[in-house]
Order: sequence, then C-alpha cells, then structure tokens
Amino acid sequence: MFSLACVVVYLTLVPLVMILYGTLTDGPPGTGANFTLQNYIRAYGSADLFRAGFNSVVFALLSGLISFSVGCFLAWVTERTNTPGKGFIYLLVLVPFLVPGILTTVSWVFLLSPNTGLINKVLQYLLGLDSPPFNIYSLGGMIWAFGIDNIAMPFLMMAAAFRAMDPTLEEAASLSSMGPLRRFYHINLKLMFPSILAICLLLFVRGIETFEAPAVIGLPAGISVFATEIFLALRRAPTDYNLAGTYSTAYLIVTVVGVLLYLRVTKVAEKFATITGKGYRPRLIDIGKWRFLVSGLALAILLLGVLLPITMVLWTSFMPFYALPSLKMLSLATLDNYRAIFDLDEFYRAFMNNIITGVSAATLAVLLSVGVAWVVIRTDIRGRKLLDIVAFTPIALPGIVLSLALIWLYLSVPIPVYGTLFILIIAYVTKFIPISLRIVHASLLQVHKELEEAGELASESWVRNLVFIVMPLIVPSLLVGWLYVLTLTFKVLSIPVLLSHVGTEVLPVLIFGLYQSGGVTQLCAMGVILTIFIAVVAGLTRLVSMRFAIKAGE
Amino acid sequence: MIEVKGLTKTYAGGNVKAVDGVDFEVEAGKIFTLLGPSGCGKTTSLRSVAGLERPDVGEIRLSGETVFSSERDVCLHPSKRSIGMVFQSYAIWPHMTVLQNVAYPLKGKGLSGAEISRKAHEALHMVGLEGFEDRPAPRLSGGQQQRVALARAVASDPRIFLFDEPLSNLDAKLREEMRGQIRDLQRKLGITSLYVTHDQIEALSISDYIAVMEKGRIVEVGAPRDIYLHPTSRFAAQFVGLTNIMPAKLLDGANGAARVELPFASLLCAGKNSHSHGPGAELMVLLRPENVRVSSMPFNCATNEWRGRVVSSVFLGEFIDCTIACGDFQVRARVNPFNHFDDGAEVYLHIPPERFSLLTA
Repeated sequence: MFSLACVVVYLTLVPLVMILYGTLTDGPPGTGANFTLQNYIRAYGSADLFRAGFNSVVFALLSGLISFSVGCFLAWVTERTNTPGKGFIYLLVLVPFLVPGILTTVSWVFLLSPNTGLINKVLQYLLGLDSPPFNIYSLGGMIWAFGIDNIAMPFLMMAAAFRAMDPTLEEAASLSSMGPLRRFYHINLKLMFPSILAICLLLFVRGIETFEAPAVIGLPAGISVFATEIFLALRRAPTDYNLAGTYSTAYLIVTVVGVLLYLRVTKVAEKFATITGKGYRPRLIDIGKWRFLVSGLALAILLLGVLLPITMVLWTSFMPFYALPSLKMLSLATLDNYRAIFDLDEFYRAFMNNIITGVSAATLAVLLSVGVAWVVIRTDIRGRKLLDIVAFTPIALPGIVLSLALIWLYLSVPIPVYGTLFILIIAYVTKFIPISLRIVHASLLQVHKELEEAGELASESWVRNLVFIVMPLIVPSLLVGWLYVLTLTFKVLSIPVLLSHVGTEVLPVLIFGLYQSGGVTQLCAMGVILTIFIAVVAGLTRLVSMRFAIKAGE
Repeated sequence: MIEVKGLTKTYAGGNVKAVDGVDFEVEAGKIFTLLGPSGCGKTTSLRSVAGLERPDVGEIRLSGETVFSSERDVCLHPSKRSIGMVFQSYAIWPHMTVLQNVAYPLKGKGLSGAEISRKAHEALHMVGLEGFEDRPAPRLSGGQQQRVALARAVASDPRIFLFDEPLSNLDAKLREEMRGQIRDLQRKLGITSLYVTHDQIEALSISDYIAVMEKGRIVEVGAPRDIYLHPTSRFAAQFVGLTNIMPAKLLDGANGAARVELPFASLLCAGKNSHSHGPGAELMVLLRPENVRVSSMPFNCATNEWRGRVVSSVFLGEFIDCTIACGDFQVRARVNPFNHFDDGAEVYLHIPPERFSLLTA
C-alpha cells in the first residue's frame, strides 16, 4: 500500500515539482543552471501572458455556457418531458464521445470559414449577403466549435441530476399554493443548484485546458490562449523551456482555483438529499402541443451541432480536393484518400503506437484506480484522504502543462523514457487517473462491505480477495473506465503534441500534422477510420461488460 | 470456548465509546447472544471477535488460543481465527455459483480439489441445498441465500460460529424457520457460537445464554428464562419485553416473602427477588403485562388484589392490550381476546405473588 502511494505521488506531484524548479532556473532541463527570478519577470511582465489568460477565461466561460445550456436543455427534454423522438436525441448527443475533438474542430472550419465555409456560402446565397456572416477564425468561432462539441458531458450529468431527484419532493411542492415558476425556482433549481455549479466548474476547467480548438482555429487566427502560448514557446527556436514553464504557473493557478471550487461545490452537493445515488423515475411533464416544437428544436440543434460537422468530414473524406457538397462533386467522389491512408506506413505505425500506449495506459490507470479507491473506501490507513486528493490533482493539470512537466523531469533525471512510448504512457496514466478513479470509486462504493469481509474471513491475502471478489463485482465499471481512457488516448492531442516524436506518433498527432500541412481530405479519411474504430471498440466493450454484469433475480 | 476480557473500542478519536470494557465467556458448544438496541456495541463486540474490527484494549481467546491481546500486541487475521460467520446481508458473492461461494474459503488452505469439493457438497447437504450447486447466487431466494451463507460458514470446520443479525432481512415466517435450522445445525455440530441480535424473541428462542447490552456495556447475563422472568436490571426488564415498573417501599420480610407498599396499594411478593435491604428501602416492582389477571368481578383474594379503571384497550388478535388506571398509576395488562372491557369500566386486578420481581430502585 505504501508502494501504491509512492507510485501515485511520483506520477502526479514529481512532474509538478520539476516544472516549478524549472521556472526558477535559467537553463534548459538537465543543465546545471543557476537560480533566478528572471523567468517570472519575463513572463508576468509581458502583455502576451495576460492577453492569453484573458482569452482563456473568456473562451472557457462562454464555451462552457454554450455546452451547459444545450446539454441542460437536451437533458430536460429527454428526462422530464413527453417529447417524441427521445431515443434519437439520446443517441445523437452521445456521438461526440466517439469523435476526436480535433476532427470536429476542423469540420467547423469547413462549415464556417469566411471564404469556403458551407454555412457561410449557403447563407450568403439565400440572404443575398455580400460578405460571409460568420468567421470561424475568431474567438467567437473557437468558442462555438468547442462549446457545441462538448455537450455530452453536461447532458449526462444533468440527466443524472434530474434522475436523482425524488419526485415526491416536487409533488409535495405542487400541493402548496406556489405557482409553477416559483415552484420550479424554489424546489428544482435550488435543489439542483450545487450539481449545476459543479458541472459548470468542470466545464470551465475543461475549457481552460483544451488544446484542439485553440490550436486548429486560434493559431492561424493569431488568437492565443494559455495552452497555445506554451505550445508556441516550445516551438520557437531556440526552445524556451523556462518561459513555457513559467507560463504554466499562471495556467495552473487558474485551473487549480477552478478545481478547488469544484471540490468545494461537490461537497455541498453531497449534503443535499436529492443526490442519494438512488435512481428515481422522474415525473414527466406534459408540455402539450409544445412538445413538437421542443422536439424540433432539440433535433435542429443536434443536426446542426453534431450531425452536420460529421457529415462534412465524411463528405470531404471522399473528395479529391476540398470542395463544397454538390452533385457535380459527388460524381468525383473517390476512395483515393482512404487508399492513401492505408498505403501510409506512418498510419500503421501511429495506429500501433496508439494501441500500445492506449491499452497500457488504460489498464494501468484502472488498476491504480482500483488500488487507490480500495484504500480510500475500505481501509482506515492514515493519509488515505490525501492519497485521494493527490490522485485527483491531475484533473487540474492541463495536458500541455503535464507534458512540459514530464519533459522537464525526464530530461533532468537519468531515466531514458524521453522520446519513447513510455513517456506517453506515463502522461496518459497521470492525466486520466482522476477519470478512471471517479468511475471505480463510485462503483466500489456500491459493493456491500460485508461481501469483502466474508472474503477476509476466507483468505488472508488482500490481493487474492481484491482479484477474486472485489474486481469481478465491478467488472462492468472497470471496463467502462478502461474504455473511456482508451478512447481518450485516441482523441487527445494536447499530450502527444509535445511528447510524440518521429517514430512515436499517435493518431491525433498525425491528424494535426495533416491539418498543418493542408492535407484536409486525407485528414478526414483518417478521422473517419479513427471514429469507426473507436465506435467498434466502444460497442465491443459494452457487449463484454453486459456479459459480466450481474443480473439479480430471475 | 470464547473468552473476552476488558474489550474496549472507541471511535471518532476516542470520543465515542462503542464498546466499554466488555467481559464475557461462552462455554464450549453453547449459543451466547448479545442482545441490545442499535448502537449498544453488540455488533462491534462480535466484529472484534471476528477480527474485522481491532479493539483498543482487551483480550480475546478462542478455544484457549489468544487471537487478540492489546497487552501482548497480538491480532490474528480473521482468516487465521478458524471462524465461520454469517452476515446480516448474507454477503453471498453474486458473481459466483452456490458451490463456488461455499468452496472459496476452502481454497488456499492446502486442500486437494477433491477434498474441497467433498467438503463443499457436505456443507450444502447439511443445509438442504443439494441440487443447487451450479445456481448463480443472485438467483436464490432470501432464505436460500441465508442457507448458502450458513453452508459457507460450516464448510471449513470452524471452531467458532459468529452470527451478525442473520435473520433481520427475512420475513417473519421464514425467520422462524431459519431460527430453527440455525439452532439445529449448531446443536448437531456442537460449535461454540456467538449471536448478535436486537430481536428479543430471536434471542430468547435461540440462546443458551443472553447478555443484554446498553451503551457499550453488558448490563446483565443469564439464561433466557432468568433474563425474562427475573431481570436484575431495569434496562433488561424494559428492553426484553414490556414491563410495568412501579416504585415501591419495602415494609417487611426478607428474601422469599416480602411486603411492599405501592402508592395505591400494598403487594405481597413470594417470588425470587434480588434485593437485600431492610424495611423502608426504596424498590421497584417489575410486573409483566401478561402476569396481571383482569376481571370485571372481584377475585376475592386476601392479598394482591387491586381495583382499577380501564383507560384504553387495543385489540391485537392474540391478546388485548389494556391500560388500566390504578390510583395515579397506569398498569398495562394483557387480556384474553375474548374478554372485552369497555373504556371506563371498573375492573379488578390480581397479581399472583410469585409472578413479579423486586429490584433496587
């Protein structure tokens, strides 16, 4: 158990210490440098940092607002109303889980670019406008692309919050003399407020740390946020590790504040009786003839926000060159892009790298999570709460910062993982432990303590009991956690973009490379292949986890 | 044989004393029950014997072997204590079949596969579950799950049985049936057993000895008969069954035959009682409602006959629960369901001299 704590601390805290050390020295990692405050003077003395910080906060707040409003609306529609077409809505909302963010961002460029964007062209034609109404290469464009791509998380969490609410609370209120609006405010909104706040804070942190939209849209448009500012500092020649590290401190302050607030709010949320972990069947509200309008609105949002970008990617993947959809272009449709991808040695290499790193990282993250969650829930070892918090800290660690920290660490210590797949695995495990830990923790809480105690009576070896009794009981959620981490490694760009080198590329890096070199049609083909792959893996995992789920009764 | 000495366990940094200096001894082959309300420390005591909880202070010996001693810093792992335990939730592993559940504790003990299988089958036979070997555990009824738990506890030939409220999740009918089965199995195997419950009927019917617990301490130990009929503590009298408790003053007489003065009448006592005071001592009269005879006609007894007025009566099927005012005091009495008294009716009460006890106030 001591070794478990050591592993967790080593993964999460040591890189942070290294990066802080780096900000106080005057040479690149590994060189015997002198202590100095020069980096802080340079970083905090420049307007770049504050502009980037301001953009980051605005970007995170507004994109979070979009994600939350849309996600919340759709959750309300599917959970609380008698709107037709709920199944379809549910299906579409979850699609973004399968599609890498970089792909949808690129697709929004296809749709909203001022010169060639499909939506701009259509609106200009329909409304007879002289100039394109939208410009994706703006802060607004970034906000929209990221906000609309990020609706699945608030949707699921709000749906859970709706379901966790005891309908008798509402029924009790309906007996009072309050009007329906006041009732909604006093009962529903006030009870759900902590969960709403928690979701918003989580969205804010995600917005602050995301790299895809700022890289794909912000870099060409010259709009920098924290993540891209660090990226640029590292891409400049000569690479300025110290400055990048110092930027990271400002970045970290913002995310850490967000996460601390989140932890505080979720603690309050646990106190509210609505969150009992008990599933209720919420009372459906009959919204009468409005239901067709609501259903239409929900479907319109999803068609525009989810289906259209994917369709655009699919369309482009069959085109010999980037072109707007038309009948003429349809006749030119070709499989050449797919052929090109399958002829590409780099593709196979990146794919294999992705499988190796993803599967190892997912497995390690889940196993570590089981260990940590078990210690936290089942033992009374001193410091177990601290272990929980330490394992959760990477949630506040943006991928770019984590990668930079790992570069610092492994260029400074004689462990030869820099430039190999190992550093990627280490980064993935660290970054995704908080996610798998939450999933495993929640399911382990469901396992009755006596089931384990019966095991203790049977065998002295806690490993044996963990393997034969505890883990089989939570196999479905272990698989969910495993799958979630695995798919993230196929989607996340912010980590490998700094840590991958020639020979250790993974697919998101390859896609980003194609974007930067202008190979958009091949990019789309690769994106489609990747999305299909993720969908198949997700489907298989679901099948396996259903097979292992314990069915009660007959 | 189970010996527990000076067991103490505190929680919340020493602020809450869950168990506060508990001593008891269970003779070999007997069932000993810890009875008390929730939070009295009975489950913590049992879990300490099992090794699932580590007491702060005390010593626990099972069949002469010290399994826990705070003084000598001994604390054996639960699996090393040779214990069979039945949990409140049964704790049947839902991802295993019935046979796998029973066989799991046998594995890793150096037994051959054939041996494990033989023992597991034997245990299942003992609880009447042959033919269910390959049934997945969740596809069992509550009673069947309970029997699997029993089989699992029996399978590894333990020297001690521990039962932690094993019947509280079953419905009333099944509870009675399982009670009998546990009792029979325990008698047949002659395994020393510690049983924990908050249910007095369960405790009375299953135990050789009962220890009544309150606030982390044992207040009284005795055979079920003695605990019920002649409690020596006010708490035990009130917790086990319903009791009328009335203040009284000793007039004269010694053990065996004493006269006491109640606020509204005097009473002759001929039963066992546990006081050793001279005349004038403040005592308590403990009177079970079923030992009060009620009639609308005078009993014409020389002593122990009171007059009262029915305040209320509730028909409960097996009996009528009558509340009768005698002076300023209200006496609860159980009346045969065929005897009906109107509220406000004048009635006569008779208390047989040997059917109540006296206690120091």
